Amino acid sequence: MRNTFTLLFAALLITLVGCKNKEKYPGPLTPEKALESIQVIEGLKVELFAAEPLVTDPVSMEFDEDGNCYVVVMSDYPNKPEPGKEKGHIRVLRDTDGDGKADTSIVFAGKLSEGTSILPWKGGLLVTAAPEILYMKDTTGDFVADTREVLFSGFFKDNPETQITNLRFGVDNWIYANNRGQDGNVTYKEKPGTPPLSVKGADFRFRLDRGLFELETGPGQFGQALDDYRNRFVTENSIHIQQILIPWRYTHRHAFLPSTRSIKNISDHEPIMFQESATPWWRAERTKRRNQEFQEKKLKRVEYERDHFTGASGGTFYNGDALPKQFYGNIFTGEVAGNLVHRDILTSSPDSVYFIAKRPAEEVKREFIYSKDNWFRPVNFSVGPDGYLYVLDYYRQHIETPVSIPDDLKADMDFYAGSDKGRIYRVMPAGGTYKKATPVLSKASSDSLVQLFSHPNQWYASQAHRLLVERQDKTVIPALQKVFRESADPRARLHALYVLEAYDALNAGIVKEALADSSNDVKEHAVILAENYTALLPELLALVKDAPAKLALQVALSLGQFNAPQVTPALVQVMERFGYDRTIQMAVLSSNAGSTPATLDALFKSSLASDSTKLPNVFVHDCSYVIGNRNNKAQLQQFVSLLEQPAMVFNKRQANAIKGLVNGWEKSTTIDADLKTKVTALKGKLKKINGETITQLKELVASTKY
Amino acid sequence: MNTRRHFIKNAMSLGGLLLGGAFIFSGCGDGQKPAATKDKKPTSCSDLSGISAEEKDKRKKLGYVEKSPIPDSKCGNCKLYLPPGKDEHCGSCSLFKGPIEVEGYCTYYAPLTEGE
Repeated sequence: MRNTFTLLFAALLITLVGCKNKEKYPGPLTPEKALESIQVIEGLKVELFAAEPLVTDPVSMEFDEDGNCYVVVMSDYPNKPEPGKEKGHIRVLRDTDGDGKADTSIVFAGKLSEGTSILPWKGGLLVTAAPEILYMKDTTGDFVADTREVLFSGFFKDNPETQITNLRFGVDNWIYANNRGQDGNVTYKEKPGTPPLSVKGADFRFRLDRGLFELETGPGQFGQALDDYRNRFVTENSIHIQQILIPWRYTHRHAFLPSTRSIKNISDHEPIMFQESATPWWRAERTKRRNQEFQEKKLKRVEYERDHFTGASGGTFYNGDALPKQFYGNIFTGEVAGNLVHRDILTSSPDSVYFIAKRPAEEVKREFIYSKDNWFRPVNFSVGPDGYLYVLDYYRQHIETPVSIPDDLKADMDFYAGSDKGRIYRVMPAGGTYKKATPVLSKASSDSLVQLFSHPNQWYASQAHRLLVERQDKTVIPALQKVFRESADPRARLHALYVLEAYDALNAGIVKEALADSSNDVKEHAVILAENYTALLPELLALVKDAPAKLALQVALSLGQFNAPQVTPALVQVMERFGYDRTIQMAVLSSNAGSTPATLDALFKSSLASDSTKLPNVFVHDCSYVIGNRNNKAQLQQFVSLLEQPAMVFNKRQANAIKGLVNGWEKSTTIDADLKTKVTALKGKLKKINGETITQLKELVASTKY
Repeated sequence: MNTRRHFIKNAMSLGGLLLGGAFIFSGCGDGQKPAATKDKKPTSCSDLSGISAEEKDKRKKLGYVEKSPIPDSKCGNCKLYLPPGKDEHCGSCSLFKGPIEVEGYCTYYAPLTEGE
């Protein structure tokens, strides 16, 4: 008996030592303890707004026009739910006693397969739930949706981390969504006869007031921030902030560009995060193995187990009024692997087409919010009618794609540990007390909505704008015109301009006024709107002379929409000012007028003839590529006639031009097989370009039969 | 009474328990990399003849395609991609077994960042 006991004890010891991994992953904290673990920068404090059981697994939160708070619960992550067994849903959280804490929770819509984002629309909610965008509405006032219709369908649905998501209403009346470039053929309920739209490689935008939907430049993952002027910033796992530079409709005007990528990492700091939580065991082990693989392959590559962005999530633009002024215009991004919230300040300069995202001075060596609690998973944010910043904490033990973890490492990982938990925090001034907001905008007169455009909390302006678009109440056109002409706030002027656009109440006169606006941000949108008025071409041409880079970029893009002889010289002028910038180069090349031999000829006759900075070889290569890819005989002939021009011989331009043309020509979709063979043969001789190469190219062009 | 029979019985019991403990221990994850299966060398990067059905299914689930739909986002600049080694024609991926096209893409694409 005693021996048996000894043996059992020995075995137990072995088991305990062996199973040390049970302690590998710490357990959860209560909401109160978790709150204590959260450290925010000085001057601010964090309060708990909601926690389990009222809410679990929150991933998105929006307030409708009457301040009702809706939360998307994503319980099924990381696996795909079986049809009929979906646990995902949308809840309404209510604070009925006004103490700043949710006390009531109502399931607005259940059985939601992979819902990830919502947007109030016409008294209901638009919902991204791959493969669909749904519209749900409560028509009885009990906060339970009783209508549910599929608006768009056909989106990709096989990776919950990279699906259609992040609905955002832009000041330009378009609703934007991230699609991460996933493949899909999308149809719209209201346009049953329209062929499915392939969304491969793109994000997505649509207008329900006009029945429009189209591709947008991306790809954004989980996190899309639209600022007050609809500049668009997206989040990706390891690149925490990128700006979309050129919209899809321009980069795809013709099909001949060598690349249509137009997204920029705008962070000026290393992708380092100041993580205070411990590295999870599985991650340390996986990183060790991966680095071992890199070494075996003799790659100069290192994977980091911590302190580097790998789980950036939910980038959100803060334009509320409850935090001190210096936070207005900041972008907040969660980092779910590092258990922290990162803050970026956006700065712009007249010489740059994009913003720069900087760490604030007080956060050079720390993060805006951090916790040592590994369960703290700040996936997303929200700014509501009260003007505070809300942080959505998914609160899970593990948040990682299981397939990316080796089987032996995940054997003891429970990916659903914490699926019964979730917290939503409110960030507010340290010395402040909670001030409840009680908007009732659904009942507000249209005239009073117009007056909200310059509200210090732009949540009100955005709601008012959206409601006016929904109402189509044209009696407020005079009020809109008055705000457009008289408001001192450029944000208000822009809201008014675009509501007028939604009412078909714009004309060349109003847009001309907007082109002369004191704000370059308003001017930029006026330039877009001017594309509809050929009479405004002179005003656009006049802007080229002294527009700052970002405005000049839009002018270059919009000029390309006009079919007029003045366009090419104007694009040359843009190059004379900002030709060093790759985005400006792409903007010029994206139009037919900016990508012909005539463009090159005009550039060679301009002040850029011997300027290798503003007329760099890469532009010469890309322009030649487009000419080759277009495969138009007249243009090919004109191109070869330029090859001996002095400006073409300058600084290896000639070699770059020939390589560009041949590369583009070979990939042309209209080239016949025989010619393609000859072009490929010529391509093989381009290592050493000389007079003979030029002769051969000329002969090839001369021999083409179309 | 400490007979030989008792000794053998106890030893067997302990052995059994030790084995059980070892089993539990290994079940807890010993941090060792599992032995790599020796894959047949593919004849092309589309050749999946040496790959198990499970692995084929995995690459399908991850949305692997041989030609990326997104400009400048491809396996070749993904941090999960391993370029071909000496005498290898194709690269491989950290997420699933089998050959990978450098121009390919999957829904778990993670861009290589500077310095990687």
